[in-house]
Amino acid sequence: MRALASLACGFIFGWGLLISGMVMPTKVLGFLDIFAIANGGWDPSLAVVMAAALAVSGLGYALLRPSAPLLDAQLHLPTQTAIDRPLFVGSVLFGVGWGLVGLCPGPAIENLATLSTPVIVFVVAMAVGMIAHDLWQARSAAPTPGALASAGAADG
Amino acid sequence: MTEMGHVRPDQLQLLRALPSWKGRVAAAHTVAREVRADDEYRLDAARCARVGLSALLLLLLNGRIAGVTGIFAGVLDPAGTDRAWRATFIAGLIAAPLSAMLIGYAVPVPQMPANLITIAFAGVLVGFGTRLSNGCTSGHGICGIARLSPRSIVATGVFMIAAIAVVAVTRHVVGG
Repeated sequence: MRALASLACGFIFGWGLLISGMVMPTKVLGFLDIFAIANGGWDPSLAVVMAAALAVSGLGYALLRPSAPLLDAQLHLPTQTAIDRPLFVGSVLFGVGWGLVGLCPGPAIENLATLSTPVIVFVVAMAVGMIAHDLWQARSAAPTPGALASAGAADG
Repeated sequence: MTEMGHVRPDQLQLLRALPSWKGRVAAAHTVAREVRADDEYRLDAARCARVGLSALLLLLLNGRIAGVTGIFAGVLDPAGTDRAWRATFIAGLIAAPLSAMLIGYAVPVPQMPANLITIAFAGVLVGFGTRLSNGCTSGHGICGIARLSPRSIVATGVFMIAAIAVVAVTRHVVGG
């Protein structure tokens, strides 16, 4: 049942990214190119996507204040709250990669459906980056069996 | 191309010089359709809200954060727990454009103005970076900000600034 609910959420999410144009790297780059304001080339429309998505999820979260989900015994919310160096460094690395090609993880995976070679290359490289990070974390942290699992349970 | 694609003459010169120019010419017959799709495209905030709706539903139903990074990494990790719901989320994500193709919606083929080496490099940065900061546009940008998490607000600010800076350099300094 949880898997079905998750399938539906992924599906709705995918449609949202598709209809909003977030799956188009050129559109994403056009949005990130704020210095094109000067010649009228800036495309602000993805800010609307972000705002609309936040309006629904933010208001919903604030109004419904879920104490427990329907299909599980408890919420699995991120437990980390520290604004630390890994957060900054990771965000910078992600931002640089995103700015280079215009793909972030969601649209990249969704675009696999088009069987486009550059997208496949990107997703494989992304998986390599993720696995490399997790192996490096597992090695530098105490090698407990739960290390990888807990690394996967944070913000998302 | 100058007329239809709104490409500036100096950019056109640059495009001609690139090895991908042949491919562009070969694909020229699709340009008209793409421009048409772009022109007909109307942004509808209610539709965009689907992303937020999905994130909210996943939390309300399964109590999980709809962060693509964490979900995808959880599927990749052979020792990971709860791989089933993560895998179905990814399946749903990929099924969306497939279903769109089935009903005749023109799914855009992604165009990336970079060569494969740059794309692979960017992919590794995105993969490593999102794991290090524990989230991407969905996990921090949507779910985290929706929960008013200070960590996510900072992360989103940082990756937006980094991305904007990179686009500024590649488009206006190097490519300008």
